[in-house]
Amino acid sequence: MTQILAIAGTTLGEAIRRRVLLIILMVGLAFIIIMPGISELSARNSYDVLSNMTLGIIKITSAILAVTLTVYLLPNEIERRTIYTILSKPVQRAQFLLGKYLGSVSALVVMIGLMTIVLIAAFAIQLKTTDAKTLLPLVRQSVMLVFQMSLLAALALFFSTFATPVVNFFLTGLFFVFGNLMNPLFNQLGSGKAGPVVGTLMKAAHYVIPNFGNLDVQGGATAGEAQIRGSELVYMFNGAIYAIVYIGILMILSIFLFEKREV
Amino acid sequence: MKKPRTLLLGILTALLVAQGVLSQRFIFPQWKRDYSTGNLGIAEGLTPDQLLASLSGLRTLVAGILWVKTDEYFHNGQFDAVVPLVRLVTWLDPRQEEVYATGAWHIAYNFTDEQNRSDRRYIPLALRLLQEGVQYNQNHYRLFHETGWLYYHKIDDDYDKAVKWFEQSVSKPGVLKYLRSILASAYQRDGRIEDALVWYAKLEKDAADEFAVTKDPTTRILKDTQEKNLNNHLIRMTSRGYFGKKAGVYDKYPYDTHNPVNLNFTFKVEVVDKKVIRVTGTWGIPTTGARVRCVLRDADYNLKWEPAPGLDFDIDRNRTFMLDPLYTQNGRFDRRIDMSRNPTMYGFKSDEYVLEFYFSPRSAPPHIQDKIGWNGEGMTDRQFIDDKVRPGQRVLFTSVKLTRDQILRRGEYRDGYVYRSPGYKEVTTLEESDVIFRGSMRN
Amino acid sequence: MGLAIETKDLTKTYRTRAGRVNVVDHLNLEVEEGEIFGFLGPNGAGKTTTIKMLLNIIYPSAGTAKVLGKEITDSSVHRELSYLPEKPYYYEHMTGLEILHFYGKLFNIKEPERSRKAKELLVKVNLDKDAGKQISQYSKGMQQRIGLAQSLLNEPKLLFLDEPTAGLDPIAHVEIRDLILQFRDEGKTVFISSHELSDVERICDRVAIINHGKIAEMGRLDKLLAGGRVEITAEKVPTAVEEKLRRDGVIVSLHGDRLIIDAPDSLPTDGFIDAIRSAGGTILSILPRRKRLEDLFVETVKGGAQKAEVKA
Repeated sequence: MTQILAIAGTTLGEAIRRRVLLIILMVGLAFIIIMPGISELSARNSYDVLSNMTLGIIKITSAILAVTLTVYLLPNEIERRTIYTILSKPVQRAQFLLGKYLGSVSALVVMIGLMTIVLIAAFAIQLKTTDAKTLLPLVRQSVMLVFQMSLLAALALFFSTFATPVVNFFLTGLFFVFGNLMNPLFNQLGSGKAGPVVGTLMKAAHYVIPNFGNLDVQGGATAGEAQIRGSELVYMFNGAIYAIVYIGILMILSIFLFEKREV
Repeated sequence: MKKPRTLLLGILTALLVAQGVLSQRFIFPQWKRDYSTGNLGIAEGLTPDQLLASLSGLRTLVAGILWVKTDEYFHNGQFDAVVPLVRLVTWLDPRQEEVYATGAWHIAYNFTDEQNRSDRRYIPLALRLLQEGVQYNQNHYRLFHETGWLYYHKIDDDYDKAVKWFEQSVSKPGVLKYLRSILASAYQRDGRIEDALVWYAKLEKDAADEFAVTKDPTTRILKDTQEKNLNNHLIRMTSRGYFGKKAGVYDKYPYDTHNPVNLNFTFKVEVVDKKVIRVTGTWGIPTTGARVRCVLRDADYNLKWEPAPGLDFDIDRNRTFMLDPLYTQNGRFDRRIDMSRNPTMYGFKSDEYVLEFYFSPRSAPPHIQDKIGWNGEGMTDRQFIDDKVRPGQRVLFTSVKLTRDQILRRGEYRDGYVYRSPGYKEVTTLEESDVIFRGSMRN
Repeated sequence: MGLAIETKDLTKTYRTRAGRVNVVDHLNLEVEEGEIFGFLGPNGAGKTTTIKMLLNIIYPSAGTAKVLGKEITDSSVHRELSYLPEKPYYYEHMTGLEILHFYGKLFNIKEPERSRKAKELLVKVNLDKDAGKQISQYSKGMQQRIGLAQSLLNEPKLLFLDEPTAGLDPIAHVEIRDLILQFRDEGKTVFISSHELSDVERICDRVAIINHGKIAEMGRLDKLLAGGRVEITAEKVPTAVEEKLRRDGVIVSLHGDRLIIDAPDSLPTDGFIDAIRSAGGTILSILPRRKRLEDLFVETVKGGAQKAEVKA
């Protein structure tokens, strides 16, 4: 455990050093530019538009962060040969991998956390309110974002045990888009409406492919209703468990592949 | 090394099963209920970048841009593009109540012919859109109110439904106060006079209670208005003999609804040109405000407003349904209805047609209702009073059959076709004036 | 004394487009405990591949190997050894002290032991004054010294150093060399892979020269370089004699009026001396010279290349 934490700590430190300030600055700037103009564009009340918009920006930013952070995790270590100093110590490869992953996830938590703070501050200023009812939903969605991005990071790490960074980017991106679409696609095509082959494929995909849509409480159609029923928390809880279980799967597969890999 | 590997494989299998069960059994059903945004097929209308953006959490923004576009199309008169776009916007952002409300309004009111008659075939679509919006916005009054309003104002016939939707609307938190009294009007049109009284009384009490606390001028105005509404209603119930009937003394006292107004309804239908008809006639309610509804439709196409389950967002373009609320003035009406310039609205594909005239006391304004009552007890007509088509009411209703050949002036009707109702007399020139000089209903 | 490293037919095969290539080809190597072993070879000879196999970072295609008496797949052996890769970059955002703590944690060294060791090693590699600086501010030599320090955290019995002096300035060379010699005094086994021959020549007890994945030469350095050459310094040597010597295949160089003759001892040196004397020259000194490692290396590698060509 000491080893895992030590590796996680350096990974976090490095990630933070490299990117965080720039990212937060950019996101903050984006908010400031976008927020006053955005409500003009929509027929809907400005709070919903603003929250969806800004959380959308945070989502995209964190997805890019999660992928860039993890895609280069192993290649960088190998290129700088630090991995040899680590693997020649009494450190299991599994420990190395887990440490690297935990480090990236902590970095994501820190970054999403900071972006959320910027977001809440921006909202408080724009809407001139500190009402918890207005600001709390933003936090809730950020929490789900952490799970979603952790899953994305695990996926990118898994691919990085056998694919080159370019291939990895492509694969992870593809899975992210597809995984976000999983539920509506399955809903539409799983019944075999588009033919039995497509239906079966869709079912299989829905069972196996990491379902990022499961972790999305943004844009919930009757989310208001779900909040009143208290079922949103159930949904979030299920989603979080799903993410953890799926991350477990990806980590075990990554460990198997990484044990075999010659670095 | 062997042992932990086997253990890991075991855990892996267990986790794979667990994620599958979790996703299929627990998450997906709730997603479908709470988070599904409907038909993905709609996504075909998006450009790839819009689609991508919509998937990555910027749906609201894309929806906003498309909504601006929708408005453009509407103002250019490209109505065909409006419905799919509205669908797309609501798919992207199903919590935009404004889009449902405005979209349904466009669909129900604004697709019109050259003479500004709206295309009633679209009303089920508007209702369908609103009902879908309601599904996604159940805890807010707005779309309940809009749906009720469509029944109350546009359909203006099916007041049961209007009441049902308004009752939902006023029960939602945050409903605007001035929107609450509409329910009392809907009750009256639905014939539920006492329910209207109870509701007026409740509104009055609420306003009085609020004023007792706040003592500010705005609530005072509201309180005064509610008091006036309640009083007016009580006065009307009294003068129209509502209480008299209940007490069994209606016949004893000279209520306003006694000595019935003779509607004296006669009409003439002329096919003056291909797909152009002229309806003229006499009408015993000389003051303004009472419109006679004139419908020309396929004989087998009695449009039901309520959308059928599974209705997709298109209309049956082979069907013809024309509705014109005839403006009456000085005891007569005269209207040239030109259906020749809008072939998509008036296809005339069937062989047989029905032309209907209909007037309900329920949709009449209060000053006319004061004479004829809520249920038409104060009106009479030699020929066309009907107490069957609207149970519990005496309405004016009559219809004549027309054929395609007659409307298109074909075959033996090349020179036109004229139908005169029994007792029809040509209107004298004396009354052909725009000046409203006949103010009284007592002839 | 036991063997620190022992390989038997250790082989690593890679598939390339041209076919299978044995990067390490049936390597048999024995390194004794307590010696400094030089593992030499041109670039691409298979040095780093061998080390990585010994460290279980890559896996042999055939053959076996033991390190400190244990199979290489036994990861517990990593507690007793250390590895300093060629030109590693350490996490640049960390300070020297943080780096040592990080690697200390990887060895599972607990506090306060870890702090004590870190301090001690920083003194040892002469970085105690720069311990608080970030690695990004370290010079190459300092980075190499902090690398050595981290590799000493577990008090290893066996140290693998891959090109430990590559790219360093002369002063840094000396510093690293001195440190390595110090390790031997402490009883550690040091396995140096390098092509910095002058360094190896100065510090190694035994060397192996590897070429095309095979051992071309192996033995104690003093034996490998023993004998070989004689250096004769003379004065007043007539030009005719000088030219004759050149013809006989001796290296002759003029330094002022002195002539230095560098001849392999396989040639008749007595004959040269007689020839100079009888022509009126004066012999100033006769010195037996060790072979230079560079010569041995070039001979071995070139010989190998020629052999390979013959084979082909």
